[in-house]
Amino acid sequence: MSGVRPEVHTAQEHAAQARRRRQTSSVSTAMQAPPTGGRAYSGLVTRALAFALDSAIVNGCALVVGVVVGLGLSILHLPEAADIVIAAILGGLWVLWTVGYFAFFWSTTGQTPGDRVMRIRVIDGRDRGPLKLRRAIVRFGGVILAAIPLLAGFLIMLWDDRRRCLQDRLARTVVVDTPVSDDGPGRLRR
Amino acid sequence: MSLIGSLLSVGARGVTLPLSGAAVLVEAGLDIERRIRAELTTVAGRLVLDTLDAVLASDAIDLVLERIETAGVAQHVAQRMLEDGIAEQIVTRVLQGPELEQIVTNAVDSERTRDGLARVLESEAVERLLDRLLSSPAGERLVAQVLGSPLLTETVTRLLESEQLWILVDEIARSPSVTEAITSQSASFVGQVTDRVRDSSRDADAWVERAARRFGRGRKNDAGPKAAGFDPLKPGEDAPASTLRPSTDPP
Repeated sequence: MSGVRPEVHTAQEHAAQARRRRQTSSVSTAMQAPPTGGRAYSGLVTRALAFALDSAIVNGCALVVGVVVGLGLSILHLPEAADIVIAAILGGLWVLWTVGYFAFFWSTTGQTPGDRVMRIRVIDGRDRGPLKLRRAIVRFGGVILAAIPLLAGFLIMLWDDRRRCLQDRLARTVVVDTPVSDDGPGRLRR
Repeated sequence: MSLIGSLLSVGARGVTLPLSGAAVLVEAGLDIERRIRAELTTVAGRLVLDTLDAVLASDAIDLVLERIETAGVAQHVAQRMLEDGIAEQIVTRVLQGPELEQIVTNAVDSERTRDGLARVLESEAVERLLDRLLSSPAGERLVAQVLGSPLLTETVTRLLESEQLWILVDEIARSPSVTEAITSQSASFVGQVTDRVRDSSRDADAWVERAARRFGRGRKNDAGPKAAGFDPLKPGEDAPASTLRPSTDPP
């Protein structure tokens, strides 16, 4: 075994130490979390505030569009059935707009405007890069699922070592604090 | 009859001819006098202005002002004027009359006056004189009297009523530098507010988490989530990836 290179030996030692830590102390679970470049995982209140800001933006825009469209349609004398169809279309567009808003920002910069204000970012839990669009959509679905059981899907983050909600577990993401100088998810990469 | 008439006419012409000649001479004399006077006025005005220029350009003013300063003439004059109420009368008269506006307009329009004033104001003697005046008791009394005088109140009231002032204020308010300053101030204020909110939310995160974990331990005396505790770094703090610290939550 003397021919084993020192760095391999060191890696084996590290792995053994990690195993021991896992067995002896549950504190070590935090050490197994994907490193975040030294950044803290974002907490419940910060994320709730960011989500509230995003909701205000999304619904504010939708409200303005709805009022404009409603006023425009009020000029025309459309039959009642047409009104129902238009309302259904607008409802569908609202859903698309909401999903698109979150999915777009999560899959590009990793930060919605609300996240940017609160200086947090959604990143991949493993490679710490931005999400793919499909996973961003899955994450949004997770948000809805998390809200259904009286927000329990969000509250589980309080007992999670990496402060992950249901949507984070589904999409394998984490939400981290970003320093002031951090301009993009690329900087999180090593 | 016609002979008599002709004789009279010739006689009258003979009398009036010298008179008309005299009138022509007088008129010519008056014209010459007018011209000479106009010429003299022009020359005198030019001479005065040249003299003024020469005086302003020379050190004479500095010398005169230094003499006045050393002799304390200005203080004496100011004191006497204040004691006798002459200063207040003069100021009242100047402010109420139309002369002030005219003088100011003429002075502002004149290039020479502006240059001369600039030279006078830049001289050290004026600076020293003003310093002494302002630091003297007479200067303090003057300022106190001016501030306490109803004239000042009236002047300010008139100023506020004038439309020009508000046009000026509007112009200043619309100027790009002012707008930029207000924008940057607003941005800075918003930044401060969001920073405060962020800090508070981080504190609230930690508090909520501690409370939840305490609740969890109460329900189940197990290390569970506490063991997985992650001590969040403070906002902006950046530690190496390998230094995730275990929780420091109180037991």
